[in-house]
Amino acid sequence: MLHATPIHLENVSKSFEGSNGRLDVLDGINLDIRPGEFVSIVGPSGCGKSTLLRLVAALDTPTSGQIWLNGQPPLALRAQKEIGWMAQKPALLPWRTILDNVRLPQQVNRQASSQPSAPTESLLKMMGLADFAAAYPHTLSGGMQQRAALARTLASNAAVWLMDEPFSALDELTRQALADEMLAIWQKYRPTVLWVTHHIPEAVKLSDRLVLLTQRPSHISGIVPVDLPRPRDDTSTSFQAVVRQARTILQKGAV
Amino acid sequence: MKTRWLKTTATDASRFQQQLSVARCRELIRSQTGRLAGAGLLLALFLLWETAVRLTDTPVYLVPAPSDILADLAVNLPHLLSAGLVTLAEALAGLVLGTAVGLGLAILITFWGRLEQGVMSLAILIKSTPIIAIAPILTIWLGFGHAPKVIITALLTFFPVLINALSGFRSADPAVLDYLHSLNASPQEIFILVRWPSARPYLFAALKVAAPLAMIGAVVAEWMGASSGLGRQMWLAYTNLDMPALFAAVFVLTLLSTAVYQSVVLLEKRFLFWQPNS
Repeated sequence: MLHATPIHLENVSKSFEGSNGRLDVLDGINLDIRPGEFVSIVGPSGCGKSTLLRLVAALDTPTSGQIWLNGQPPLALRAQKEIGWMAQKPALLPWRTILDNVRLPQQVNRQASSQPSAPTESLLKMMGLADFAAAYPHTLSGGMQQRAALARTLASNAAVWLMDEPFSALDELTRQALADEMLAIWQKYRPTVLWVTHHIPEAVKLSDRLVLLTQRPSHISGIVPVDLPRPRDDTSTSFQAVVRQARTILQKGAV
Repeated sequence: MKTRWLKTTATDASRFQQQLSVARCRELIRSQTGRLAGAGLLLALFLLWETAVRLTDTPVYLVPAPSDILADLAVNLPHLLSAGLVTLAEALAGLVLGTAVGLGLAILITFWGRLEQGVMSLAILIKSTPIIAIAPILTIWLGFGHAPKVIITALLTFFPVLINALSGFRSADPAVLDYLHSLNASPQEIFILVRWPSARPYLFAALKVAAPLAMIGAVVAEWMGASSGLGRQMWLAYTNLDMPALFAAVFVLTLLSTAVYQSVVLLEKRFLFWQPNS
């Protein structure tokens, strides 16, 4: 794993050409993310947060502007298997057992010589999936499936984790439990995390900074640092103050 | 007091067990009802047929009674079965060839999208030509042996495989494709790891259509001229106006077709375990 990978976005814009004409999604995004930082991108639905993440993952290309990951274009970092991608859907292969799913990142793109962070079996144990190693995804609950997807991301041992609302399809309790585990994993391995969410308290609970986006075509309406010690108590007044601050900025941007 | 209580629970328990076994019987009956009803319906149909033929005194060269067909089967079944095996072998060889061609073309289009229009136009052209028009030509060119039967069967079966395989390769979950792209997986890796397994349900659907088609293709080709096979038996019976023999051949053909279809269904159950409702 390439430790300490900064992310640098320079005037990034994205438009889509559709049958109904041009759709401007992102409008001049400038952002610097420090190596090992946990940054949440928060914005109203449809504002282009996911598009932004796809650009950083080289799953799509910006219409204009530049993206640099550790001084390299996204595609170069992707070729080195330094990008850990996780979305709302667990995207497990239904015909593979949980163990074989978690092994998947080591089986593709072998010329990129990334070392697994730990043996797959111990990763499963760490994620509480040891008993389900031989199970198929459809026999597991949504929470367990997403847990397996998290283990798979962990197994790829990437320097940059790009996570698109990974827990938003789960029930509240599972969501909180997985967020706590995510935090523990991040504190242990320290990847640079870009976390997309529309859930402000979740972003405040996890991240170093919140990047707030406006309605489409979106630009950054504000950046809110969270200077609270972890683990954070979401009932404390200081926590609530940060949530309120972020919400106020978002509401202005949504108009 | 205490003993009475014990007695009640004991009778309750036995009653409960009785209810359980009744429930189990009902379950069994319910699960077999479909099959029983099907068999009963078939039997009733045959009885009606037999009675109708006898009452109206229809001559056997027009409509044979089921008993006439049975009598023919009793004598000729081994003979018909060995003819059926020839047809089955031709059908399976044609099915394998047609599946290979259909799959190959679908893979080609998946990797080189630009080929799609050309390949599909040609495929639709072949598919639109009635097989009954091609069969005599191929028989003249290739003779009375197995080759024209295999080719005609392949021509009949490649199309459903091509169409379904193409849909199957494209049915891969976009979220999974995103994930593999994020690992910089090559198109070949994506094909082997995602597209091929995603296409398996589609391929079985194609085989369910293509397998009975293969039997039809082989028999039609045999009607055009053959030295062996069920089609030839049917043609012989037809020229002799031997209706019981013709029906007996049809019976064996249906039996074999059903067996082929059921084999595909069994294979599907074995391979698509991750799909709860397939």
